[in-house]
Amino acid sequence: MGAEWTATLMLCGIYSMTAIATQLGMMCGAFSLAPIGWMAIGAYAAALGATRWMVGGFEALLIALAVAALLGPVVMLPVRRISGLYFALVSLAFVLVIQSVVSHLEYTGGALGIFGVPLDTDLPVVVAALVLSAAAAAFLSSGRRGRALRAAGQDAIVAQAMGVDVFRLQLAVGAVGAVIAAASGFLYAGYIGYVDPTQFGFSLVVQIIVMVIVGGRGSWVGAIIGACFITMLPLVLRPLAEWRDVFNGALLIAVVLLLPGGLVEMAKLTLRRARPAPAAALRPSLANEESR
Amino acid sequence: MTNLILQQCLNGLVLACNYTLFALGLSVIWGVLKVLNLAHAEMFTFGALAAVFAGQAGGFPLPVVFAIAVVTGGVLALIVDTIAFWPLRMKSLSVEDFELSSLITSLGASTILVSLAARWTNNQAVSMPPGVFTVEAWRFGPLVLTNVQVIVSIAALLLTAVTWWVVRHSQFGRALRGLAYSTDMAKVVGIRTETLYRATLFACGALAATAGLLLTILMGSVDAHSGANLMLKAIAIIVLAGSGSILGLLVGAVILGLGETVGTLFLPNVIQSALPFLVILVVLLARPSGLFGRSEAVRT
Repeated sequence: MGAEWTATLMLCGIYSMTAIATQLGMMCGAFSLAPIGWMAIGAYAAALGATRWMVGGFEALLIALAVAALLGPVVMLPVRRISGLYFALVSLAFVLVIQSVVSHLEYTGGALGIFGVPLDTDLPVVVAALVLSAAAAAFLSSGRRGRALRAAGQDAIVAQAMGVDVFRLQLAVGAVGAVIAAASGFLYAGYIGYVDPTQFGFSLVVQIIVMVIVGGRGSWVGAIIGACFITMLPLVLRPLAEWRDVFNGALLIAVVLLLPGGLVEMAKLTLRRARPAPAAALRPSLANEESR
Repeated sequence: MTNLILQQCLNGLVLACNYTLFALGLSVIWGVLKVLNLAHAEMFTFGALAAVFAGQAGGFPLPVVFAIAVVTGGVLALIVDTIAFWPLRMKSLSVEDFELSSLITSLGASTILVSLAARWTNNQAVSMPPGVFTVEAWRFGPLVLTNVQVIVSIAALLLTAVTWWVVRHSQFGRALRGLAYSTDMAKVVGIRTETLYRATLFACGALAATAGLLLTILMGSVDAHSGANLMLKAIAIIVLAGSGSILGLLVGAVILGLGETVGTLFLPNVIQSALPFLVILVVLLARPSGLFGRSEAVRT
């Protein structure tokens, strides 16, 4: 496997984690972009740990994760009062406040950022972190807890009427998502070797949204598929790299209009079609659904 | 020092007039179509770019340049609608689904357009050629006011006033508010909803393009990201205003405009650049319906 592919796979894993964190929020009815902010915090923790605090990588990671676990739910708090797009705006404001703070503080290197982050991230570490993140997401979205989560995402009021503590669930998702995203940011800094404010701005927000939507809303598998798809595509189709933004935008519109379930939904449909015919005949309602 | 503060106040108010003009279209689209149209910024950019390139081609008098900008903005808004919003309207989604989906498609449209604009301008800032508009500075005691500032402010305020009158008092505006309240009821009473949607989008695109032209004349240059930078400020203004209040838009724009000019004298850099976002955060947390908004449920 060439070095280029190893690098791409690492990036896939890192973005997958951020996408999972964002996905979890969307699943429970809190469309939060805060994970991109947490990714920035994780990355800056790695950089500051190596250059200012003079602690080992592991200690810096622990600090970042602890902060994320404690403050992740706090950033999620506004969801109690505001919902939908307004909440997405608040979380976007959180991301941009962090970006503009790090780009103006002397301590974080200002607009230039911090160079000389040790390149400690390698593929096994990324894979391990991704597996852990996916396990956490799977744990949250399975069984009774998972049904409660999806119910909260579909209709918070009905979910509450059914006895789901929607708010508590959202806070838990806030904590888990923040921790996963901070870890991904930490790995990202160790992968790329430096941090600067432009890495974690609006364009990354767009990128992550594209990944989540293209992969498929509503399941962490979709987040991973979307992240890998979007990260690898420019590598597979060279000419596309130049037109990346145009292509991303077109893809975003196309998926929302034509394939609201994303790539996951498409895979599921293909699998169903591939099934032997009698099974389909037994379930006519399903066939109807497909023909729509 | 006092003079400096006064001068910056003046500059801030001029900026605020433009912000209002830009936020106005965004607010109307949000109210009527229930779309937070992130591509609105690109009507601004493309309107301004079209005007600049028309000016550079030379030979056009200012009114023609202005008309080119307006038509570009309006037509672009219609194109974006056809690609990104109209198919979603046809799908009869739930309100939440529609808001999220249209936000995402508008994000897609915006990404495409910014990238195209960057290619069009080779990632450079382009500026209005000097022949199109001559700048004169007038002195009022210690204060300086340019003819550009005066024209820009008056034009922006006038257009805002016209929009307010149209929405509040004309037959068109009544239909619009009915549409904002309920699409189905609007259809029942015989409003051609699709025509009205398109007309609204064209008008709002034209408003954004006008803001683009005016701000380009004021600032001297425009680049592919000018609109996007303004977008966050506009969202902050709308959030601050609460939906459906044009007075609120004015107040919100003045707060941000002054924050940007007078603020440079007092606020540390960190707060200065984060101001729009801090405004969004604080207002949404303290008063989700905005300073001038009515209750959350009714949004017209």
